Amino acid sequence: MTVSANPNNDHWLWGVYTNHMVTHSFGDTTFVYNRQSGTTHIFNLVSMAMIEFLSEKPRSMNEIIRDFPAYMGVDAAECPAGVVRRLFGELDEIGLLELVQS
Amino acid sequence: MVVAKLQEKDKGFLERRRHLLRLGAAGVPMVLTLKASATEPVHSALDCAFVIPSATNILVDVDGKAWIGDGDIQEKNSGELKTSDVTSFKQNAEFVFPSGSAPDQFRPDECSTGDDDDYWGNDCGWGNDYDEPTGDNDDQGSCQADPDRNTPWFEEEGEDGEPGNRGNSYSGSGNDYQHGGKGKGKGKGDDDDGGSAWTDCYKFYQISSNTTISPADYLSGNGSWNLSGANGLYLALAGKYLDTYGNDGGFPGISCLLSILNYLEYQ
Repeated sequence: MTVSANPNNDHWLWGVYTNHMVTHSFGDTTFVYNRQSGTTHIFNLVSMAMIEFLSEKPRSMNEIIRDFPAYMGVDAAECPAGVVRRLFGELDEIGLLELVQS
Repeated sequence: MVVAKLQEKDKGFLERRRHLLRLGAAGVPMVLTLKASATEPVHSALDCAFVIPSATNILVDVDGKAWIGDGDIQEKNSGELKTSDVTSFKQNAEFVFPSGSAPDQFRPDECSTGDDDDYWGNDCGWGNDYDEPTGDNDDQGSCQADPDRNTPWFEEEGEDGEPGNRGNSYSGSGNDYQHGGKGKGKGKGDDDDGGSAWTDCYKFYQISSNTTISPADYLSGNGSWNLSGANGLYLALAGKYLDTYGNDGGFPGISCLLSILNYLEYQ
């Protein structure tokens, strides 16, 4: 079943389909091949950090917004909720986010 | 588990992530998908930076006319510049930009000492003579015709623009005399032949050699350009140069700036 991150519920926990991914990094850039879609994506340091962040353990959207800035090592003001939500949406759109618990 | 471990969080690494977050706040996507037709990742266009190879100085007058060169100008604590140095700088400038080129915030607040622009007379500006605001500038001999005004931050009156409005920043056809060569006369004071040794009719900006400029640093969170400081002025003038001459490689940073503008234009 495919579940979209939008609309979202605060209690839903999201993880990453790590088994679907083949990654290869060149400096700050990471190429991510999605086995399921057969598509290759280019991630930068921020999008890759989100993948790693969600790979640690499933998190709700509120937790992601709250904790991702600290994971990145920046203040919340530098990593506003809108950016986090948009990044989350980008990852969801390419089919790499897994709804672990709803 | 094939996900790479988090890279070492050294200072440079964090700074690069902060830079990307600023781009994200400006609406730049953090994930790109390769397509069969893609020949290169567009992110490289946004992440570009360029180096000013040698010390570069910029002189700006009250009308927004600007000169770029490597000459030096003595400056008082009050901000007044030595008139003879100003004259020499203008005469030896590598690039000259017509009135209206430098946005308002980079211009001097006042011009109480007068300047010597009458020496330069008709400055071949973009636009037309003050006395002929609606005509063409064919009478200016070697002067160039009006360029397209596409660069986003060059709204009328030098206001910062929206990157997405690149094609709409200017509604006129280039005949508004605000952008033309006014052939400005003397101010209240004396000019060179009179002997006012210092002038407040100009502002002087200096960029040291090997300065790295990342244009994306001047993108604010809402996606508009926020140009400040000498580097910001340099970018503003680079945009003017781009509009007039295109990417001919004669102005450091043009290729980088062009790639960003082109990218933002199609977002």
